[in-house]
Amino acid sequence: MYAVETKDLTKHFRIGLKRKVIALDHLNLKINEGEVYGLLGPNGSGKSTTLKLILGLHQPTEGEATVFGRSSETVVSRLHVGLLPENPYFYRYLNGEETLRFYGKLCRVTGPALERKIDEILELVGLSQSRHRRLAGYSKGMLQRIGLGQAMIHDPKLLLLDEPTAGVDPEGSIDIRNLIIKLKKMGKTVILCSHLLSQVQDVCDRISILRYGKKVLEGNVKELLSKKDQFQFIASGLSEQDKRAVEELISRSGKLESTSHPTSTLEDLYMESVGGTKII
Amino acid sequence: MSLEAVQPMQEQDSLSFSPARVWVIATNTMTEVIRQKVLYVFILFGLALCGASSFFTQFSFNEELKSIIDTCLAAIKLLTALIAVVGTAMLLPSEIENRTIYTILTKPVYRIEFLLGKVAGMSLLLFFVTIVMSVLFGAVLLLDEKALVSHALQGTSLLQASDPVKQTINAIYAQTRNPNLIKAIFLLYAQAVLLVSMTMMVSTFATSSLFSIIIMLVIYMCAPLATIANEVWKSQPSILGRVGLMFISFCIPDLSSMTLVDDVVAGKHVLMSYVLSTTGYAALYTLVVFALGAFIFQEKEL
Amino acid sequence: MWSRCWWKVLLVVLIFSPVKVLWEGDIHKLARASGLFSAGFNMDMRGKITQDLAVAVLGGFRGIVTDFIWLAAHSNWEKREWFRMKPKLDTVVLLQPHFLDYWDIGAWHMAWNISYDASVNTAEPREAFRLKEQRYWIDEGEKFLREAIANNPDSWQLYFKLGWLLEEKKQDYKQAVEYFTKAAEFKEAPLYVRRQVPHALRKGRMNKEALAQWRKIWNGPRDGEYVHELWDVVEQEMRKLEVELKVPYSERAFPKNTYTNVLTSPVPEPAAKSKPKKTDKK
Ligand SMILES: Nc1ncnc2c1ncn2[C@@H]1O[C@H](COP(=O)(O)OP(=O)(O)OP(=O)(O)O)[C@@H](O)[C@H]1O
Ligand SMILES: [Mg+2]
Repeated sequence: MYAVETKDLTKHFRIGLKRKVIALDHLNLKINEGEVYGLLGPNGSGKSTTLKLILGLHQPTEGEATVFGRSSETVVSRLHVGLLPENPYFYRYLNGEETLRFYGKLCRVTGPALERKIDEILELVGLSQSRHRRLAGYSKGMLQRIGLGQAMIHDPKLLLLDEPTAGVDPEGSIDIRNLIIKLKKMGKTVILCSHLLSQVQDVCDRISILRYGKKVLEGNVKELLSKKDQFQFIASGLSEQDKRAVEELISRSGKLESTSHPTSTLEDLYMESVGGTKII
Repeated sequence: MSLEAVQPMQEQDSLSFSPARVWVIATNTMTEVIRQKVLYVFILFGLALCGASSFFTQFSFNEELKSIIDTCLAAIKLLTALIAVVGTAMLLPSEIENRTIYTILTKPVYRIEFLLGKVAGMSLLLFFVTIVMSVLFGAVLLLDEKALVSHALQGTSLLQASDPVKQTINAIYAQTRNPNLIKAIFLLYAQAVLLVSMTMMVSTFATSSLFSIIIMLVIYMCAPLATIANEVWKSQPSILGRVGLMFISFCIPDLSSMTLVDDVVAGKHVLMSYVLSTTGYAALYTLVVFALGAFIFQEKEL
Repeated sequence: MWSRCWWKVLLVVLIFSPVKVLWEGDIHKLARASGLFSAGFNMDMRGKITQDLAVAVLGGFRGIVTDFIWLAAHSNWEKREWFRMKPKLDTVVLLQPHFLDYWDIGAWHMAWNISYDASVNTAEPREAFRLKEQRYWIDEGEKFLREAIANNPDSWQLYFKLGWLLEEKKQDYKQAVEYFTKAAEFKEAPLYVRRQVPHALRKGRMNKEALAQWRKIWNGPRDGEYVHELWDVVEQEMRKLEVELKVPYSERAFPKNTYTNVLTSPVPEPAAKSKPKKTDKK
């Protein structure tokens, strides 16, 4: 059983009377349990729409999505799912602790178990100090953190994170990255939408890149990024003489393409597949 | 970071309708509306009360009490209706605007639970508001009664009072201790709950809270026509005309049947059977409208 | 959204609509039976109040609107602007025809205050005109009360007030008696109402009928609420009339020189027992 499976998932949005936007076009995904899966793509390529369809917030125009084998249109499919929406806002009049309590109660976590859980999560997302402050006074990054917290309050098996690091400071981003790695170790499935390619490269097992609602690339990150017939050597402290010797050695059986500084290669891959895309 | 310490929750495989979840959403809704400073209505109500009890003091006791009762019942009607319509109209759009609805509906929560929680929260808040206003109203009425009675007695005791004085006092009591007042307030509350449910239904498809408020305002203004619509319906000869009118009439709740202010002031007795029938009507209407709202909300794209 | 649920919505509307209409009909029937909502909104009102006020009235603020028009009428009265006051009184009773004080006080203003003011109006030197004016306002008061009764046939007060006006202001004792009698027929009417009938008869020199009325009271029940009847007044009036009418001693309730003290005289047959017998005979 897949954690998430989509079959020809298609979504049209009607704009006005006649026009429509094809936000998602026959998307097929198979996301395994315990996998960290990255959804990439330019703005408006349908990442958030995919998440909403997986969670039943939208109805598919065509095709279907299942979560742990249950159709996304049923409420039971949401039993083990947590979502961090993009740009989350919460009830401004609740404080951090109350927010988590509210969502916990909604998921039927109650009593001392809930209180323990709240403490743990606040610690986890780094908001222990501001737990008694109203959310009206939270900064964007803090809201992102509490959003991450509420997504985990009922200990779901699947987490959908829509740009979890947007607005979070660099240290916080690293925290979130480590958290995702930790979640993976615990056997959770994570679907991550992000524009921070280096982070995606770090944490994701597999990625797919969307463009105009279509999947243009999918695969294991390591495999995608390693060009099997190409090698890049990184050396330091090499003398000019030795460098020439290495070049000579390479030219014996191969051809020296170029020598360059290492780059964040997911970026290259990304630009290669979707570079120059116009936002529709 | 101590994620290891988190206990895995018990695996759940089914999900039934849960009143507890409805309650969580209802209490949260109440907090939300109260934080919108809705309770300032009590100040408005107090002002209306002061105005009413001071304007007519130069008149006969009957006129004075009438003006207090008129004003209070009208204020209860207006304020509860306003809170019901405006407060409810803001709920869904603000949830969508703030995207809080995403975090709620992606939890294992039925949409109908969410909607019911909203309606129940609003109704509970209105219950509280109605009770507080009624208590204030009752207090002013009793104070006024005390003043009027002692004025009528002019120093003598009730036992020594002459028959005309006793008659006056009984007439005062008939106005101030009128059980029909409670029935009237109860029906005003039933009306407010019906308005909450209707507004919620409208806001499931309306695109903004302003739009819902305008629709509800039109319905509220047309409500007195329900009686006429009913008459016209009966006299409509063609089946087609009857069916057509029935649809129009569906949108117009008979709110005037729940507004007994005039009759109570005029000393009319409100039969219990009338209260029951009207309450039943309001309850059924509320339920039906809620069901419609739930059908639409179920399919709503967020 | 609609494409997936319209049929459910339609179905519910289809089922509920007839239920709603029928239930409303039932409620209105019940309301009419208990006398609620007889004050509707009619086209008459449109001409009398402004559009804004009409909206307020329709919106359920009829009571407050009426209160304020009444307040304005009152200030007209204080300024003696009678012809401004009258239309306001008419509007007030049109809006809330079941608040009896409006009718009662309005009629009293016309028949007593305004008519008196007209009769002593120094701005009008011709007495005939003054009297005509006085007459006019008394008639207006009478009309007002008759309209009141038409709107509230179930309240004894209005019959009593009309009788009072006819007796005091028009000296029309025959009609006054008629209305006092109607008022006295109500169970909840206080005892002075039934005494008013023979009083008015006597004033109208219908002594025989007056005596008959007093006798009816005297021979009527004395327990329960009737304990509070002013029995000595009844006796006094009877004695007076028996003398005036020269009733033979044998037929008098109070033959010469006998004096009954109500408090010590034996109570006649208890009324409760004699009543059912009468109905049996019928
Ligand atoms: N409710 C809606 N109504 C109409 N069009 C919509 C709606 N939601 C999304 N769209 C359209 O669907 C397309 C996909 O949007 P989506 O939000 O999934 O993009 P995204 O990949 O999440 O972009 P970003 O990186 O900016 O978050 C866009 O063209 C967007 O305009
Ligand atoms: Mg997005």
